[in-house]
Order: sequence, then structure tokens, then C-alpha cells
Amino acid sequence: MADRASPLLEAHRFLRRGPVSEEGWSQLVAKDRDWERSYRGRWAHDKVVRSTHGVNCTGSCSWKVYVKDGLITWESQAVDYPSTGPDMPEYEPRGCPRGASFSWYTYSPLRLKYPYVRGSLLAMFREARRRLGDPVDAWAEIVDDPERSRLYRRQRGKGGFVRASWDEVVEIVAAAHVHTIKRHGPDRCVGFTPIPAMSMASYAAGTRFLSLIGGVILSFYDWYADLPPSSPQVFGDQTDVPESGDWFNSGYLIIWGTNIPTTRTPDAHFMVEARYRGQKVVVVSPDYAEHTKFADHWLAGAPGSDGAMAMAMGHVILKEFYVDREVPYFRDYARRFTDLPMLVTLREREDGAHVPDRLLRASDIGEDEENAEWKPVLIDERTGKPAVPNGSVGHRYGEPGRWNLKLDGVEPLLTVFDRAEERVAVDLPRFDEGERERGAAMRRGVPAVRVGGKLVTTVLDLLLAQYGVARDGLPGEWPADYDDPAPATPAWQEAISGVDRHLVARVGREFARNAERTQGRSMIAMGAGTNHWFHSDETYRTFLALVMLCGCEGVNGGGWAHYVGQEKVRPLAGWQTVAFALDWVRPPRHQSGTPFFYLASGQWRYEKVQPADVASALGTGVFDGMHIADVNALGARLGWLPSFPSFDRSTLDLVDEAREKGVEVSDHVVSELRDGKLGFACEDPDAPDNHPKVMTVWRSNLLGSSGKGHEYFLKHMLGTTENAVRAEETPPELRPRDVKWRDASPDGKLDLLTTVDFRMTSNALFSDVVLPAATWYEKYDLSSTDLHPFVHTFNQAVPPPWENKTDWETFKRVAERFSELAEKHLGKRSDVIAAPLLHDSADEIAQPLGEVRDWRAGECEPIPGKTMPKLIVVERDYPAVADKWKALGPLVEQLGTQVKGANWVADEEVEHLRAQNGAVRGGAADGRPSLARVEEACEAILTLSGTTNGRLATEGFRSLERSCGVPLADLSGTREADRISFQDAQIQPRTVITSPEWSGIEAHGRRYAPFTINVEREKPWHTLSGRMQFYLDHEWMLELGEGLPVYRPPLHYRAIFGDQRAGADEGRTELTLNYLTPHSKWSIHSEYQDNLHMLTLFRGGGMLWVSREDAEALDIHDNDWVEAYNRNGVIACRATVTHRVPQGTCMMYHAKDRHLNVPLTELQGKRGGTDNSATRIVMKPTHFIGGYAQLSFGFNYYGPTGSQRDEIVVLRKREAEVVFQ
Amino acid sequence: MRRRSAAGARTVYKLCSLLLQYPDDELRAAAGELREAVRGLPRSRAAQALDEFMEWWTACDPLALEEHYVQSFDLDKRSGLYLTFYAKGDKRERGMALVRLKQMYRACGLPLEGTELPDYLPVMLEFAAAAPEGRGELVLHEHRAALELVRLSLHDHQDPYARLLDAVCLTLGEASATDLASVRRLIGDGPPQELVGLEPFAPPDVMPELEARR
Repeated sequence: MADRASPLLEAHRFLRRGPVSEEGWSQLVAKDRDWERSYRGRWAHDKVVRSTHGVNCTGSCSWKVYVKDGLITWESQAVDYPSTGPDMPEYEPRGCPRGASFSWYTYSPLRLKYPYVRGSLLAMFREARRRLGDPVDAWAEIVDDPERSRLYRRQRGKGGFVRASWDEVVEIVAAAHVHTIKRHGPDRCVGFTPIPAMSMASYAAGTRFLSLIGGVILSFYDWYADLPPSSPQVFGDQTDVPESGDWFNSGYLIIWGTNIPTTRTPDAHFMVEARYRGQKVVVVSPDYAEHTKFADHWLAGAPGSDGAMAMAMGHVILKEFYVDREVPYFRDYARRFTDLPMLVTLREREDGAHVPDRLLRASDIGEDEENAEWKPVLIDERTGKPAVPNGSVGHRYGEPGRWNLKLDGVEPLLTVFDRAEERVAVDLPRFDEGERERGAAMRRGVPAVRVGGKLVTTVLDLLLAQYGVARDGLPGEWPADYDDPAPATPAWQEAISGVDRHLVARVGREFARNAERTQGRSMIAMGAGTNHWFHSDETYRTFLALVMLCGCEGVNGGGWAHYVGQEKVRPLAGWQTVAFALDWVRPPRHQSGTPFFYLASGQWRYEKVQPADVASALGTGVFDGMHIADVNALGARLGWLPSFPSFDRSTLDLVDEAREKGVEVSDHVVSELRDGKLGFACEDPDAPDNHPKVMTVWRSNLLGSSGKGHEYFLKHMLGTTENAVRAEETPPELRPRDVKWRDASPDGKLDLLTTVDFRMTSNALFSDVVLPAATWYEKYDLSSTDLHPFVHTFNQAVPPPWENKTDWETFKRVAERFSELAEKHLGKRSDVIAAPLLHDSADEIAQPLGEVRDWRAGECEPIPGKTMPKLIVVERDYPAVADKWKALGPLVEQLGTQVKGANWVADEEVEHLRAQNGAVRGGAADGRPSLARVEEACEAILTLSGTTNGRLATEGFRSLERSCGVPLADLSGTREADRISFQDAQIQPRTVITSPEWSGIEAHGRRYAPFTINVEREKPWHTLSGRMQFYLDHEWMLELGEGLPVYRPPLHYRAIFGDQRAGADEGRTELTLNYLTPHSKWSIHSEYQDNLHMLTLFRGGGMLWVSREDAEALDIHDNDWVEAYNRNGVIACRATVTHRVPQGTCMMYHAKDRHLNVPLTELQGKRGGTDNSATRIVMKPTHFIGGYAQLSFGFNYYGPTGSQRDEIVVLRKREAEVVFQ
Repeated sequence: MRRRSAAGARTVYKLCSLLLQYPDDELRAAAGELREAVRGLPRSRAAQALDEFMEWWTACDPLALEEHYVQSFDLDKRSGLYLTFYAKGDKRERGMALVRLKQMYRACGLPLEGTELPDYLPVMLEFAAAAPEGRGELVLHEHRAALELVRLSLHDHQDPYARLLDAVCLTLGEASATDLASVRRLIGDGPPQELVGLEPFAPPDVMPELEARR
């Protein structure tokens, strides 16, 4: 500075510098106007690119991403959604602060930028590879050596990562897969990735690879416990719900367990706008949450008491709208679209009372037509005679043309009250009192008639009895009025929920009255709050009863509206073709996530809740002596649900053995099973060869977010030494009957855990290999959601920086290296897949009358596809995996596409794709359309789906017309020539086409509401009766007392697990509290939770929310450090003391990674856990049922849910000093 | 005298730019060359710091060194080497700050190549070593507070890499009082936060403290 001349002395005040022209009349001044450029350039960008966020927030909002000088600088909401038309609020603009902050993540310091491997593993691999000269041999040597194997497993979660080249890490991953297939068979290779709708091609990248090698793809929806099993139970459909715009059409909205402004932020405006239109909003929520302020009424029920409230509303509706007065709209709707008129047989018990048994079938009344065992019966009001209406599952797979809801003049009789031949006492279950989970019986009565020699009544008559709505002259004990505290009156629920009986009665009455006056425009929005309970299926059925009784389902502005995740892949058919490689090989190995993790993470070894415990007091002891792992094993051998790994032997070797013997593969497997020489892997899950070996996780933070029973994962799946499991193993008397118990529990089952992500999540921290992914602004992909009717795109604003790669590129490289290594080690093999009996296929009429027949117990013959899993042999050309991965295979034309009972052959589309994407030259996929680039895969997804290709939608409806015999093709007819290309969706979000992939009509600007096709076109639901079902007559449903909707309280954990307090001896004050883990605005559904704003909002880490009363009892002040623990693990965090949480309950918001402000625990001195350290899943036996109409397996459709909400923790104030590791 | 020390400074920056990068095979293979360059530096406290670092760096087991690097720089937000993060934090301004750096490099005839970000400290140091007189150190001076923060954070962990940051800071000279104040603020509060949209918006009569705050 000092040696620079002073500006003052340098400057001229009077004279100009610079050259003067020769003529002397002009002068060149050197000052340019460059300085203006920074102003001109401030809002100039290289480009503005449309993209979105794949975060499972359900928003699926389109955004504009601004790129300046090759760098992402900011984003703004896209505002160009197609209009919703006149008289409706628009969808634009969509997007919330979470999305608006995502551009920060691109360059965040903690973003993953390089591939990582744990140093110790890399060193061993390099050494072995150098010495042996082959990566597969190197991998085999390491995992076969107990010493080296233990060394790297114990380091999981303890750092030690080094960067490695892509070539090297891909080789490790590929070699591990090749070795595992060679040694154990392909079904020991597993992948977990959730929520395809949030980025369809990225999901498909890995599942396509796994499908081609025969690996296992885990379901997520049921594992999350977000899947409401009541939806398949009642509707025969996964989760089909209205788009948010349809909330505006509703006149009465109950928000029950979903915090709409918090978790559905871009859609909440429809609810607010609807209020200006006169909509009434009722909120049911135990805490004063954000949505509560919109409520006209707030029903602050005790946690887990929702079913009681809903039953009381149902009681009022049945009494006032069905018994005291008949509402023509409700009556007509109930007759046509529900099973209320169906006849149910009554079984006499030893004491003379009756219990409801199963639906009467055509076979019971002497009809010998096709599938007579699958056709329920009702009474025709005109003739008084039994009639077999069209539309049941028996018609679906029988002679075409009768699978419809046309009554052909039959008038279904809803109640036999006026024609009763007998008035019969029936015993029905109640669970609000009695012995723990089993509850008690109550005696009520129904009118009955004899049909085909059997004593029967209607479902409605039974429902009235279950709901305690008295009619003159019926036997049994009945509540006198609403103030009588007998089930299910408003006074009865008041004792359970604490909510004023008059308020509950009023809401029920208003809900029905609004539906009566608006022809069904009453709606219930529901979500995780009521859905993660053990008995949430029964709770949901009490809600669904309300919308069905009031004729709301299949009506715009009415019905159930369940939102828990971004579940709706609108271009479903094309997506599943690409994702599961259905174009090359069928079927894929789809596995229910919950039983898989339950066994793999060893949670079954600590089980104390027995299936028999949750049976009803009226049960017959079906589950006596069974552990839930026995139920899973039974389900596996009966073909009910998938079970991968399948056998205690390689499925490749099984085929070789059969061929050596010269017998059919299925005969070989059946005879080996029958002789006891071959076992199911799930019957001995801890045998060294029977568990999963290689697992890849992408687009998910399994261990930090959904890993319920976190500490068990760490112990058994990963083998870390830092797990905090405190539980004792299941005592001998409660251990499995059929499943083998091994005293030595295997720790560290996985040989390799790989995470693909752009964040160093908990899952990544515990992985052996971490691959850096592209963010949502760096790749091409597709997005859709339940909440709006558009399909739109992710686009690459900038190429992935550093060494990041898109999921598509990552799995392409893995597939390529895998194929190279397979040349030497695998070659061509044949594989036998033990596939479960599938919903929406003829499999679902395999096991009639809901009776359970176990071939192993000699109750029937083992017949694949009938009494046990299908055994399907497929060819695996392992060296050709990469070629196939990169091209669309020939099964698209050869076998066609099947989706939910519709089918078509997309031959013209394949030709189109060949021209559009180009054809592959040479190799195993010579001449096939290319999928090598992700844009090509997106194009294929859109081209092969009905929602985005009108020709296919129409073809699909034509196929349904043939089986239903009702006109449907016109639904998509107006858009038959429309095809939404990837480029179209890049230009603007596009409104999808009405398609048989879904159940709503959205032509002519209508908002999507599910089942409008069923109601308006008389197309049946995919259930046993073809109607929405109140009654579920499977033997096991009845065993649990769940033939009908009924209130079941949370599991009595305090009684089951006893006093878990650890500090009593030390004189510590501790409280046992219910433990809830709701979704927050800023964690799971905003990927970017570890930035400073989010951390500030959450005080820098996980917080436990405690009521003022409980806090006072424990001397906890706001922000004090506390410890919450139970047998599963220990949580160390700060407390939020709040009036919003009711006494007796504490909450920890979901998915806080444990590297954020987590100290060592007082109890164990180990690092504190996540919210899931205190949870452990429990499974319900009825979720295993299969082979029975709508209760049949479908991937993410039906399966055991990983419920955790009934959990309790012990809370205490922390006394020890707060120390971080 | 001045010229010689400027050349020395450029070498210090260049060496630190290299040594702060991932210790991959290529870099480790150049250990001899790097050591020579360090020995050739004129005596100074910065040269001393580099010398000490080299001693540790060359003695390390290669894999342990890589693990160490990942732990220090890839997984710890307090010692990350992307310096605009400390000044701008997770704010929309960070994008513009990156663009500005990139443009400055180009304006100086040293356009940034490849996928690395312009605020990556080794990039800044390479620029400082190569830029026209007077321009190179400017970027380092601008991010002095961040440099100090990373330096202190590494010292807190007794991380040998702290010596490289020492060398850079010693070469740059004393930090200004303003920079030191920024360091204190960063230590206390972390990077700045986006406050747009977070202003309270209730009517003034129910927000009496609003007036007081203004």
C-alpha cells in the first residue's frame, strides 16, 4: 500500500489524458462501460431449467432452476401448470421454502463428492485382488475369512472412509454380487429404494439391475407402515385417493391424523379456499398441531382412540340415517356398491350363541356354476329369494362379461329384519375391556333367515349389532341411548377418547347430513398419525365405514383421502415394465420389506407379542403356540406372501439338480420340500447361508429414517459393536414352534452394504461403500404424485459435479462390470422363483372360503400355485445383463402388459421407441430400442403407460370392457391420439389421461377422485364381492375378531413388557410415556435438514416434546437434557416442554440423523440413538393372509406393516454431564 | 528483497494448493519434488510450518493419510475447504459469490477448468500463485476470516493440516481487526443465515417487541 502513489496527487483536475485526433476536434476517452455489465448481467442466466425435488414430500412441484456461468444460483416456482378450469383454484404456484432452499445443497460443504470405501476393506480387497488376480476370488476370500470379515464389519459407523476411483468401487460392488450369486444364489442380493413416483427412472435404475440378476427388491410402503392395509382389505386397491384439488369440491372435511399445512404445504390452499366456499373443517388430533387452527371443531382425542370416535360417529349415522329414517341415496349406494346386503352365515357356538362366520356363496345354495365358491349371495327384495349378483371375483375369472355391478333388476335386501325367521343372539368382540389384547365378547342379536339350509343374516344387520344400534325385539344387550356407555355410543367413546360425546355425535351427524344433501361430498383426510398403530387397519376401517355408509366413495369431493407418501406413479404400466425388467424376464423377486427386515435385523429374537395374544376372546386358538415368525413361515409355504431368500439352497443349484435327475424343476422342489430335504430360508433365518449377503440402498436413508428397530439393525445386520439393544431375548416358552432357534445369534449378516446418495446420511455412515449421487438438478427423471394430476420432469441444469453420477449411470456401470465378471464366474444359469399368489391375477382364487390348509400338516397336497408358491423357472444369461439393462426387451410385444386386470400389447409403441431412442446394434439386445440413456428410459416409461399414452389407455379399457361387459373405452377415447412424450413434459407439466391403471375419471377437467369409474360405470372393485367390503370373512380375520370394523386400543405395552425403568434403584424419578414419532415439516420430507436453518428450528438436533405436566413431575425445564429409553435403545437429547402435547405422551419428530447434536448416553455411555432407537416393529398375523381375493399379495399393495406407534419409553432428566464423542 | 519474498509467497501458495488436495497416488509420488520445493523456500515461519507438515505427511501410512484427509476435510463442516460457505452460508448469495470468483479468474486470464468449485481453497491458492501481481492475494484476503476459522478448527483437533493453513496465513500477514471480529462471530454463530421471509408479520399491536428491536 505504502509504495502506491496517492490518488490525489495522480489525478488531474483540469486536464484530460489520452490521445487527441490529428485534426484536433475529437478525443478518445479510455473509460469504457464495462462496469455496467454487472448490472446488466445480474438477472441474466446461461439457462433456466425445469426440475423438481424427489423427496417424497408428495408436493411434486415443478421448479425453475437458474444457471449462471455454469453454476446453479437459485430456483423459483414454475407457474405454468395446466389450468384446472373455471370455478376452481389453480395448482400454480406450487413449492415451499424447503424446495426453495434446495439449490444450496448442490454446493454444500457436506455434500458427497467422491466414492468412498472403508479403508480397511479397501486395503484387504486391493491386497487380495493383486495376489489372486481376480476381484470375485478376492471378495470370496475376504468374506470367507472370519477374521478379516469381522474386522471391517466392526468398523461400520466408525468412519475410516477413503476416496476410491469409480472403477474400483464398482468392481467391489459387482464382485460381491457375482460371488453371492455363485455361492448362495441370486436371492441373497437385495436392494432397497422407496417411492418410485418421486424419481421413477432413478428407482428403476437399480431395480432393473436386480430384476435381471434375480435379486430381491424390497417393498417400502408396508415397511414404513404408511400403507393402510384397510385399503386392500376394503377396496382391493392399494391407496387410491383424490388429488388435492378435489378437497375443494368437498362440503365437509374431517382431517384425521394428517397435518395438512405442515406436510402437504403446496396443497393446503385448497382446504383454506374451500372454507371460503362454505366447507366445514373438523380436526381430530391429540396435539395442538398446525392444522388445528383451521378447524371449526377440534376433537382432541387421546392417542390411539381414533377408532372409538369413528365408531361412535358410525353409531349415530346408522341410528339416524339407516334405522330411524331411510335415506334413499344412502340405501341405493349401499345396495349397489357395498357388501352390506351380502349374506353371512352364523355359526353356533357351544353355549348356543352364534358368531358370524363367512359370506354365503353360490356353492352353498347348490349353484354349480364356475367359481361358485367365489360368488357371494344376497336376497332379492322383490322375490325374497337368494340371488348371486354379478361382479364378484368369481365372475372376474369366469365367463367374460359378467364382472360388473349391474343388478339386472335384482333389488338387494339390506336387512332381513322384516323377514326374519329367527332372532339370533350373536357374540361379537369388543376390545375396550377384558383380558389385555384379546378383549371380551358382548352379546347382541341379529335377525336371521335360512338359505340353503344355513342360518344367515346380512352384513348390515351384523354391522348394526357391532355398532350397538338397537332394533326392537332383537336378543342381547343394547345401549339404551347415546348416553349409555356401552359400545359404540358417543358416551362410550367419551370414556376412551376424552372427547365430548355431544361433539362426536354432532360431527357424525353433520358428516352424514352433508353427504345426504350433496350426494356424498363428505371427505376424511387421513395419514400417518392414525396409520402407524398396530391396529391401524381396524382404525381405518372404522373411518372407511363412515364414507361408505354415507355414499361418499367414488364421488368427487367425497371419500377417503389418505396421504402418507408420494405413492402414485401415474405412468404405472411403463414404469413397472422398465423398473422390474418385465421386458426381459418375469416375474421379479418382490419381497415384503417388513418380514424381511424383521428376520434380517434379528428383531424376531426379542419378540414378546404372540399372535395368539392379539386374537379375539371369541377366537378358536388358531395361533396357539405360534411365534409371528411361524406365521411368516406358514405364509411363505402356502404361497401367501413372498419369502426371499427362498430356500436353504441356491435356486440356481436346485434347477441343476432337477435337470441332472431329469425331472421337472417344480416336481423336484416339491418332492425335496415334502421329504424335508429342502427347507425355506425363513424357517431357519439365522443359518449362515440363509440370510441376505449384499444390500444396496439408494434414494433412501434406511438406517437414519425408516429403520424401525435401529439398534437391532446395527447389531444383527451390520455387526457394529455400538448398538444399544437392551432387550432380553424371547424366553424359551415363547420361541417359535416351527422356525429354528439358534442360540448363537449371528451379528453382521451383511457382507456388503452400499449406499448411493448425495448426503452422508446415517445409512451412508454405516455402509461399506458410498457412491456419490447426482442431485435433483443434475439428472433427467420423471415425477408424479397423488396430490396433483400432472406428470413432469427433472432436468439436468448442470452435469453432476465432482465425481457424482446419476443413479442411471451408477447402475449402468455396475451392470457392465457385473457382466464382465459374470463371463468367467457365472455364465448362463437357470433360476427357480418361488412366487406368491398374486392379487389381480387368477392366483387370487386359489384358496377358497378363507380356510387355511397347510400342506406340511397334511391338510392338503402341496400344489404349486394353489396351496403353495408358484415355482417358475427363468433363464439368466449373466454376461448379458448389461446389454439387456440398456435395451427394451421383447416381452413387451410377446407377453403384453398387464396392469390391475387390464391388458394390452404395446407393439406400435415399441416401433416408436425404436425410432425415437434408436436401436441397439450387436450384443444380446441387438435391434431393440435403446434405454442406455436415462432420457430414453423416461421416454419408454411414458410411451408404455396408459396415463401418458391414450392409445394404450383405450386398449386397456377395451380389455376391461370384455371382462366387465360395460362401456369404458370412451373414458379415454377423447384423448386416444394423445401421447405425452418426455419432451412434452419437459416443456410443461402435463395432465395425465384417464387410464385403467387408476380408478378415477379425469376427462373434461374433472378432478381425480378414486373409484368414480366403479360408481359411474358399474365396474367392480377388486374384492371378493366386487363391492367395497365392510365384512372380511377369512378364517384369520375372524380369529382376530376383525370380521367387521371395530375399535382396538393400542397394544398394552406396559403390561407386556412390564416396568422398564432402570433408575428406580438409584431413586431417580422416571415416567413411562407413550412414544410418538410424527413427521415434521423440516426433516424427512425435506432432504436438507442438516443445514443451519433447519437445525436452528429444531434447536440443533433431535428434541423430545414433553407435556407441561410430565415435565413438572420430572423437574424438566424447557431445553433441559433428557434421556428416553426402553428395551430397544436409548435416546439422549433436549426436551421441548409444551402445552401442545397431552400428558402421558411424548413425541420425537421422525428421522433425525444421529450425528446431529447427540451426546453419549447416561445409561450406557454410548452415542445416543435416533427416534427409531426406541422402536421395534410388531407385525399383525392378518397381514400375512394371501391367496384369497383382495387379501392376496401385491408389491407395496398388501403385506405386514412395520408398525411401531404403540411403543412406550421411560423418560428422565439427565443428571450426568453432557459429553460428546 | 520484496521481489524475492513475493516469489516465495507464490511458492508457498502453490505448495499449499497441492498439499491441501487429496493425497492420492499421484501427489504422494511427488513427495520428493515437494520436499525439495519446501526446502528451497527462504527461511520464514511459513516455510517452517510447511517443513513440519511435510515431515508428517511423508511419514504417514498412505491409507491412514487418506482416511485422515476425508475425516478432516470431506466430513467436517468446520474445516471444509469451500470458503464462500463461511462467508455466505446456506444463502442464495452463495451462488452469486461463486459466480463472481469464477468471473474474476477468467478476467485475470486464468479461467477455471473442470468440475471443481471456484471457492475451493486449493483453487484459490493456485490462483494466488499464478495471478497477476496484486490480484492473487485479493481472493485470500477476502476470505481471511474463513481461513482463520478453518485454521483454528484444525488446531482444535491437533490436526497436522493446520500447519498448511498457518503457512498461508503467515504469508498473508496479520489479519485485520475486522477479519478477527468475523472469525469470532463465525465461531459463535456459524455461517450467516437466510432471513428473507422470516420477519414477523403479525399486526404491530400484537408484536410490541418489534418496535423495540428496530
